[in-house]
Amino acid sequence: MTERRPADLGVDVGSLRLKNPIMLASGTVGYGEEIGELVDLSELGGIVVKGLSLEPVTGNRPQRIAETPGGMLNSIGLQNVGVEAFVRDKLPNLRRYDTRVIANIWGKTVQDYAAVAARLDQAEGVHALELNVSCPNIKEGGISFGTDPKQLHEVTAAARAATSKPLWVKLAPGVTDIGLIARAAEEGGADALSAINTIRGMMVNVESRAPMLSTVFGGYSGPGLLPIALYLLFEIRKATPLPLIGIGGINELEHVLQFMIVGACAVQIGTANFYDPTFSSRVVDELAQWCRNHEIDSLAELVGSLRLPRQG
Amino acid sequence: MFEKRLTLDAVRFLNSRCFVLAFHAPEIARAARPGQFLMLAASDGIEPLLRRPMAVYQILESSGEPVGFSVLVERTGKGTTLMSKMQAGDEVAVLGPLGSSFAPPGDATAEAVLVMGGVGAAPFPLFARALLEAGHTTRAFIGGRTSEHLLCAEDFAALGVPVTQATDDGSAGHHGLVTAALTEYLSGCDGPVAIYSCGPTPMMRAVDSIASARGLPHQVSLEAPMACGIGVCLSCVVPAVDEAGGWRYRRICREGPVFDASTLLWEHPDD
Ligand SMILES: Cc1cc2nc3c(=O)[nH]c(=O)nc-3n(C[C@H](O)[C@H](O)[C@H](O)COP(=O)(O)OP(=O)(O)OC[C@H]3O[C@@H](n4cnc5c(N)ncnc54)[C@H](O)[C@@H]3O)c2cc1C
Ligand SMILES: Cc1cc2nc3c(=O)[nH]c(=O)nc-3n(C[C@H](O)[C@H](O)[C@H](O)COP(=O)(O)O)c2cc1C
Ligand code: FES
Repeated sequence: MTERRPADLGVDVGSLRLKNPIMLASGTVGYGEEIGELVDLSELGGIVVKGLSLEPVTGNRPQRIAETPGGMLNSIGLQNVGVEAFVRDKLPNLRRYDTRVIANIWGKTVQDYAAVAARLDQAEGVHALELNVSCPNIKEGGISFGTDPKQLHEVTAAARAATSKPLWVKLAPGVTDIGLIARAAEEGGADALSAINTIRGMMVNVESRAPMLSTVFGGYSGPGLLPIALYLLFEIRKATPLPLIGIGGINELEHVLQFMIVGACAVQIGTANFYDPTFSSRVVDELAQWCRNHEIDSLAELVGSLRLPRQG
Repeated sequence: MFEKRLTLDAVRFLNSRCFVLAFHAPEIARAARPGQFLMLAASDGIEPLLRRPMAVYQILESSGEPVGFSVLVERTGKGTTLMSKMQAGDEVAVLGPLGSSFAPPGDATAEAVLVMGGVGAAPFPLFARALLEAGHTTRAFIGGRTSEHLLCAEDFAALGVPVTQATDDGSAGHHGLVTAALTEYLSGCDGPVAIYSCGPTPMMRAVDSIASARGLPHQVSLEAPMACGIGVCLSCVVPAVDEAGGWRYRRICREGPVFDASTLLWEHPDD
């Protein structure tokens, strides 16, 4: 009997090849330093670093998190070291790993995004950029870039013009028609879409009657996000042919497979890195085993293989 | 730091709210320093989702070798209630040891004064042992709401460390705040003293004003809600002075939990 060779878990996100579809999501692994002590980042498909801005950002005042049923709220306030310090102090360590490094970026204006993208375009070892568009555009009355197709188109096009690296746009869930939003990003020049970012929520302390977060509301993440994210990915899949990256609530192999069947070619693990820090490397092995058991030679067979029920 | 699934060796209740969980874990036991903490899962599932930070209480030894550790837990909410129901033989996911540790006084002749409130006492018996081994005279001040909230007095007694106790309701020790007993003691001291504190924030702040008024070095162990415990989520920050004379956030789980109190800003700089 011949031993089946280990399943090849490689996937293509547009022009960018990942050794496997498992990535770590922005804001849940910093710049890879600490998580690198627990997980061999070279075993993963990629790591998306904490959202970078032009200048360093202090972030919101505490209290910044609250546990909720099935998840957690955060209002970190996009604290980060700034793009310059990232390239100087953090990127060299990440370049030691045989993995893809994706820079998540954000800004308060279209020009901010373009400037950060231009800086990272020059940074060797950054393999793709991911736009976090869940932040307010201060020049347009503070409406979130990700909720308005016109602004999303504009910010995507500006980043597109500033870099020749693969450009991913990370969509925010709190919108009426995610398909419309997805197409705006596509037309703006995105190479891939990741979905979803956190969804807004709040919690109240009944003794003090105060909100649990200093900012009143925050971003909900964790297991409760899974069905919402799967459904939005399904809608995005119908709207655009772009490669998709699934994010939201993943903490089992089963969840990774669900995202891929709905249409994601890769996924990102977020909150699970907090409560199960070695899950990402474990799930790579589990995925390989699953593929062997199911005689799947290429994950492309799985991507978008959803079988819809007959209607009517 | 190590990420392990450990088998719970023993559970021991100290009173109706407080209990000790002991684990066999030689690697963690060898690495752990006084003041460091661990992230313990309260259940195997996702309710509650996040692990709970707990200070290293004891390092357990066998034939003089570190083979395990324990944590001293006060039941206060969802997670700690689940922990109070754990039994020997249960598997628990544990990440640690994490964070910074208490440093013995820079002055080799200094007396170490440990001030603790409630379950904030947990890291101090281990530290007291290290202080005694390093030759420092050591003294403990323990505060609590009631006699049920006074912890670790027997541990200090076993080490020969003198203990002063105070309760808010007068049910044991001095009637009143432990800081009043501390002030009284320090007024009679003339040699060098280093202060260490862990407990409710108002207590640590009061200890800090006492220490700074006398120019005494003071290390504090802080608490904050934590999601990751390793420095990646940025949830556990506290404002602290920076080298340039401004301020910046420090992570309690990484740069702390033990800080030199003179670097902390008890009032938020934006206020
Ligand atoms: C570095 C450090 C060391 C600690 N050492 C000990 C110890 O040795 N023994 C002990 O009994 N307790 C210790 N605590 C406090 C302990 O972590 C909390 O009591 C515990 O998390 C409460 O969980 P719960 O589910 O019972 O409470 P809930 O109120 O149901 O918890 C809700 C959420 O708030 C968080 N939370 C609630 N209270 C605290 C708190 N005081 N500090 C941090 N997070 C909190 C929980 O972790 C959880 O995420 C320590 C905390 C820190 C930060
Ligand atoms: C504490 C925290 C910080 C985050 N920071 C960022 C960020 O800087 N940029 C970003 O695009 N997404 C950020 N996210 C969102 C995650 O990358 C992810 O999209 C979201 O948490 C959903 O996935 P999950 O349920 O697996 O956590 C953050 C999430 C958390 C919990
Ligand atoms: S608990 Fe996550 S950074 Fe401190």
